[in-house]
Amino acid sequence: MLFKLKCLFLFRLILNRCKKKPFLSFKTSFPLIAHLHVKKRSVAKSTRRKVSIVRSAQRSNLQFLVSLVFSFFISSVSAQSIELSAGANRLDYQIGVAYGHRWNHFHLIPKLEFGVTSTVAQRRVFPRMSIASSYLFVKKESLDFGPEVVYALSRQKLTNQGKTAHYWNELYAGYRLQVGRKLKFVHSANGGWINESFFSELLKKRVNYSSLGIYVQIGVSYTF
Amino acid sequence: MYKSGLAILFSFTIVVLPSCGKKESFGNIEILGHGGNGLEIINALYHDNSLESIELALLTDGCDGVELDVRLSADGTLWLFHDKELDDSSNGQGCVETSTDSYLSGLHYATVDQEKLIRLKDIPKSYLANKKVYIDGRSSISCTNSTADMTNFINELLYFQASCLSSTEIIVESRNDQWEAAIAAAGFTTIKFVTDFEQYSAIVAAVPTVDIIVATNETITKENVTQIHNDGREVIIFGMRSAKSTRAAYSKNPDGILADNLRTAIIERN
Repeated sequence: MLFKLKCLFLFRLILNRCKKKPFLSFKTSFPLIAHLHVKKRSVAKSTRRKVSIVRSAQRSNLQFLVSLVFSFFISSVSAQSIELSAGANRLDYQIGVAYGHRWNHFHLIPKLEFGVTSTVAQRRVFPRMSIASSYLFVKKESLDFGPEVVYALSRQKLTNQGKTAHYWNELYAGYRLQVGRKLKFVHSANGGWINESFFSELLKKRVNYSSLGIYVQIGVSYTF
Repeated sequence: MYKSGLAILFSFTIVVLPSCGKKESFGNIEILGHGGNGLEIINALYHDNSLESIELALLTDGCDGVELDVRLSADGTLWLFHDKELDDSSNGQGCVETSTDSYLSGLHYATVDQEKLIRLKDIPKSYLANKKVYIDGRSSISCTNSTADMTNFINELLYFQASCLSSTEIIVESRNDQWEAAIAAAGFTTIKFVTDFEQYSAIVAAVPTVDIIVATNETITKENVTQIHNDGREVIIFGMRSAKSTRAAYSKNPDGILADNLRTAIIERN
């Protein structure tokens, strides 16, 4: 909470500064920052010194830009969460851990999952990484709902030879539902495109096979 | 937060622990994709016996061949189709055996990808290099309650064999004893399906030319497989969906399996 307040204070400071020198006029704000550096490091008279001041000012401008973006995100964060979920697509079941970041209605969830081929008793697991983005336009006290877009990439090596890894790219659109306050029940259902890609030893080239697929997941998330 | 951490650790353990078991290798067992990339299985990307499914299986490293269900059309061409009637899984009506080639060429499977029905000769021959093609010859015509023309069927098979590379091995199954003998006489390696091992002796006595016995995983034991091997014949097992049943089939030491879940079969073999 204290961290959030500090961030908000920083953001206000930057905003105030922007009021004096609007951020859009990047070029006009440049001499001001350059001037500040000149004052701080005493007077620079040689050309070489001036070049160094200009570079330093450029770096300052970049830092200013980054801090502005960072502060904007931090100040508008309404929730962060950790999510445990189990999902299934046309090919497999997956169990995953995700970190969710939410800015008002907008929700971004990078996720690392472990796929299990067909059954939990399977002895081979494989990694699956996904990123989901949802816009939760229904935002009530204990209910969130909205459309979701998911991209996932998984990789599995079928044999022990060199180039036999199969990659699956999945791109889905669907909905996301969250029920609860701090501890939420999470459900999402998506449909879309699935692509299997691998290097064919027979054709000596990479081949791609695409189809339509679905992805359904349920889980729990804890908001902090 | 502490509870969340524990929950994450617990979930991770559930997923990873089963992967820590001791692994056996069954590298000498051949894997043939059942109907291409799997028959009537939810996690196959394409419909069985479609070109996409067959290509995907043949190009997957570790797959030694494919099993195909072949029917003779009214025009005397071999088409790939598993079910008895077209409306069971496609947008057509009637049977393959009573339909013309022009009608069949306009049909597709009733799936999201709407894969087209294909002829046996449509499979790229280069994809079959060093592969085994298991042809399940469907002789009965359910629409007319009759049997397809055996001579025509075998002649078409011979044309197909002639068009393949020399490294492609064609093995043929027929549930019709008369066909079985004719197929053997044509020089093909023959397969006989045994629904119950108690029938094995009677089947072998009726069709002594049979080279390979095919049986479901449920109906055959390791001892049965040994007995068939002792008789100088090979064994192919099918009917496995899960990793567990695939491992069980491998442990019986067959010469090959028909894999419905090709990925699982390849992973488990290694």
